Amino acid sequence: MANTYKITITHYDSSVDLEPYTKTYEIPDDPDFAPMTALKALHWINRYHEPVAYDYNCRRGTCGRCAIMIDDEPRLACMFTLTGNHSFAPLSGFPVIRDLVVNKQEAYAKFVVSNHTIKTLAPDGVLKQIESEFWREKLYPLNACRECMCCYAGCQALNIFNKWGRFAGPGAMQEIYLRHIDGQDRSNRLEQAVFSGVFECVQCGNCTQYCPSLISCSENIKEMMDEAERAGMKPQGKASNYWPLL
Amino acid sequence: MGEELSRRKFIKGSVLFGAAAATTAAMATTVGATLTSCAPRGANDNSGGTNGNDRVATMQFASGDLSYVVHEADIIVVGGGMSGLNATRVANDNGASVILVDKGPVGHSGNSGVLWGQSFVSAENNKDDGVSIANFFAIDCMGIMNQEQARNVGRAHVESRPRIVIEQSGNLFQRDDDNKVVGNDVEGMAATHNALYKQSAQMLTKRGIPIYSNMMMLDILLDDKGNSAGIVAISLADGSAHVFRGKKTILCTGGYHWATGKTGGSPESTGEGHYALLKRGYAFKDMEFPQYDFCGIHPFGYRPDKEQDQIELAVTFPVNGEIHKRMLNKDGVSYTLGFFDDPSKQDLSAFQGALIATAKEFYQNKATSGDGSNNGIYFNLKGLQDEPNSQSYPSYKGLMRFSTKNLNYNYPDNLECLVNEYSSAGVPAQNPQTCEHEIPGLYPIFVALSAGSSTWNWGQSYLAAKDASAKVAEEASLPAFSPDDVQSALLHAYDYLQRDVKDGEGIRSTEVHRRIQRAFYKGQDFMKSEDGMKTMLAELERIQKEDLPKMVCKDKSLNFNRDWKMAMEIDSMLYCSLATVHAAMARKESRSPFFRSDYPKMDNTNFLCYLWVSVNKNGVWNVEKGDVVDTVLPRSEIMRLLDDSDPKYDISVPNKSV
Ligand SMILES: Cc1cc2nc3c(=O)[nH]c(=O)nc-3n(C[C@H](O)[C@H](O)[C@H](O)COP(=O)(O)OP(=O)(O)OC[C@H]3O[C@@H](n4cnc5c(N)ncnc54)[C@H](O)[C@@H]3O)c2cc1C
Ligand code: SF4
Ligand code: SF4
Ligand code: FES
Repeated sequence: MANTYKITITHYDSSVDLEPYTKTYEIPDDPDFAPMTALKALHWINRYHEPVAYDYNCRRGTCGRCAIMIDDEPRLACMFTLTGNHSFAPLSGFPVIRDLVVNKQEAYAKFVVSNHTIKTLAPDGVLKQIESEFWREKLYPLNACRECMCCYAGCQALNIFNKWGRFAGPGAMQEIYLRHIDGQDRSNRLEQAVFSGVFECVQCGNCTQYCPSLISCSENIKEMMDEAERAGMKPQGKASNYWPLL
Repeated sequence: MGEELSRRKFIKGSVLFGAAAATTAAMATTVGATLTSCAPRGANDNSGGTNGNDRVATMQFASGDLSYVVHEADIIVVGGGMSGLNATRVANDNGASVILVDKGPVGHSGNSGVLWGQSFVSAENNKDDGVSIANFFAIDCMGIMNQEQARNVGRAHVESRPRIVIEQSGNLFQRDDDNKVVGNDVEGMAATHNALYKQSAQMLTKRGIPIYSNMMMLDILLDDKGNSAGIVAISLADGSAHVFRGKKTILCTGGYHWATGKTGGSPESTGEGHYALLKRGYAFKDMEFPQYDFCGIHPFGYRPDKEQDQIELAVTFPVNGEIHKRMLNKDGVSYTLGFFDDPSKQDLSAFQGALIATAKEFYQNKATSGDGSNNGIYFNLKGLQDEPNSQSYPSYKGLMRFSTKNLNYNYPDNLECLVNEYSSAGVPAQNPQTCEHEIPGLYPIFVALSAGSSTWNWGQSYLAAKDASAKVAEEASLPAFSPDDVQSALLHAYDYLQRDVKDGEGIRSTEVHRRIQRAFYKGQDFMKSEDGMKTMLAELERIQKEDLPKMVCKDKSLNFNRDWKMAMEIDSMLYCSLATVHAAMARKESRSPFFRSDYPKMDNTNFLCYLWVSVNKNGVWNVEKGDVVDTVLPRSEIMRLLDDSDPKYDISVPNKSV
């Protein structure tokens, strides 16, 4: 057997531990399992070393449940190929329940209040035509956001500038954007974007970088910012003054 | 800044969640106490945090040795996949109070959570009162279909207009190269692609419906007259115990295919819904019929022959539309076209035809063997990106793009794929109009045979919720459940945590889980035989007798304990596997998607019938034949259209070369 990988996992069980702790495990780089994904590594550790709490469902990047921090970056465990030694930690910015399982409720609530699912389309009962390429290139990826929360974990506006209370966050903003551009919704979604804190975004670009669905998150947000600014909807003063709070 | 920032900022996950503080040792006595300190909601909870519906009474404490919280509503929906969400929505639309309970995080769980852009077949444009749908299912399920039920599914679609509802609730169906939605519209059946279910989950959360994620049903509850009274459940997030009491219970727990060990479906699909009825002696039909699909085994595909805890897969190729022409045998020869060469006989869907053609290749030892199990084929991906943007092609292209980017992987021209079970079949006897079971007030929404699709799920869940919500309006009081039943279900579950591992004696639940899976995929492979099935049966019986008493959890925590979850799933996996193998051994023929090398021919005379499998109180299994409900397409007509003397259906006759 060739090499081994060293995986360091942050453990924490709220029912027994006072503090989180890390532990390092060695797993073989077995060609039979190649390429070794982070999810497979977790299965391995759970089976041959000791129990780890982690969540998953689809094993192919579609359910959005296996997102964790790998080497301090938010990733889908099932969609990450190991390249050497790595650290696995729970998704940053979220309360930990146990080991790599976090409570995503606060971010999820932002998706829900985006009213993405209340389409103010006249209920005329007809499925409208949409230009094929537009559907494929723009709408399909947006539609396929899997609420994995990688963008929330990486968002500087939320986690560095502490805007959880004022900003819907990158994922929910994509839902607003989808309704804004889909050509069917009749609400003023640009206004909604402004009131959902679109100008709080600092354009760090992390959301685009980490989105496994290949959604151009920060670009879409920028588009709405520019459009809103042109329409005279940019709030003056405070809302655009960012002060690093640390 | 202050507290809020330091809490958020902490990247490495030191953030505490102030929930259950019970330690394992004190478990049995502190479960009740734990509950008072935390809202009884799942952890990856998607409920949005409100209890919304004020007709739902929660948080009553019942007496008994183990404490549990009782939640009450008119209707309890168990399972939050496509079926459960649809049932919940319809019940809520009709004014019933409803609680939704799911083993995983709603919006991401079950088979529905695995899917990403599934093909939704809708019959809402049907014009002949469901007749053409019943005809379609009758033939496509190779004769074994309850046609009355299929017809009612069609009627339900016309009434509920699924595509309109799905798109109106935020989803965007695929638009083809001609900018239109509909891929095809055959006799009022329209296949539409890219239906997602996360939107429905958001919509129900928005409505304020109480949703309990990470809440695993252990068993159903009955009142003293044998009516459905609700369910007993355990929160996988914190180990707390709950009773959900309702006038009606809609069981949408999906399939049991995780037991098959070779599935592209969800780990949540371990069949607790089936088990609740099987163990009470109710018979199931269709258990022997697998639900197949093809999954790429590279770059990170699964290896069932390896001692891997779980299985991984790459991209799935549901064989709908004409993608079947890209299926190749081990010699790189495309083999399906011969099956479809006679236009007058193209009565089977592409899916069923491709399966039979594949079985013929396997019979001739033309399967690929990359993973050692000799049950793969190749999918030719060359030029796939240039296919038109119709059928499921955009989904395949999208998925390939995503995995290429995320995994730095380039797909080969020929991708090896394994036949695997994306879902499982098996339904009890139920009212064809309402889906109600023999147990009054209980509505099981499982899948019948090759109808393992959203078509079926949507129709059935609609019918059930419509009937249930009409009835609850008439009923004043909630049925009483038996606290003793609750206690025994809970004791059984908590016992797994307290069992001690004696050195070298205990068998971890993860391992027992895997042993069942291994027995299953060996005995119920794509190509089955008496010998293989006997081995499977013997191994399952051995596991039941020898391994179960020794099963332990290495992990003792109450929080997200995978070992414990798996332990609680064992009984149902075992029962579903046993039901499957007993039914499969009794079906001595090959009827797609069920193939046997020892009986390669279809045999209408003896097996154009249901096989009802059940187990009695002494653990003795029984299989009985039952007549097909043929109220739309008579049996004689099925025998003519699916002529078993046609070599097309005999898998020992090679595919015609084209
Ligand atoms: C890879 C793949 C491709 C597919 N492609 C298609 C397609 O293109 N078109 C199509 O129509 N269908 C397709 N299917 C079939 C698909 O599974 C069904 O159409 C549909 O998603 C099933 O919905 P469901 O709600 O019945 O079951 P599920 O979605 O499996 O939901 C069952 C729910 O019950 C919950 N549950 C289970 N046990 C318990 C318990 N003990 N307590 C509480 N909750 C429990 C689970 O957590 C889960 O949320 C595909 C499936 C797979 C896996
Ligand atoms: S670009 Fe804006 S929304 Fe995206 S991660 Fe950065 S700050 Fe957040
Ligand atoms: S936008 Fe992308 S990163 Fe954010 S939740 Fe959706 S899929 Fe995940
Ligand atoms: S397991 Fe579903 S996205 Fe990774």
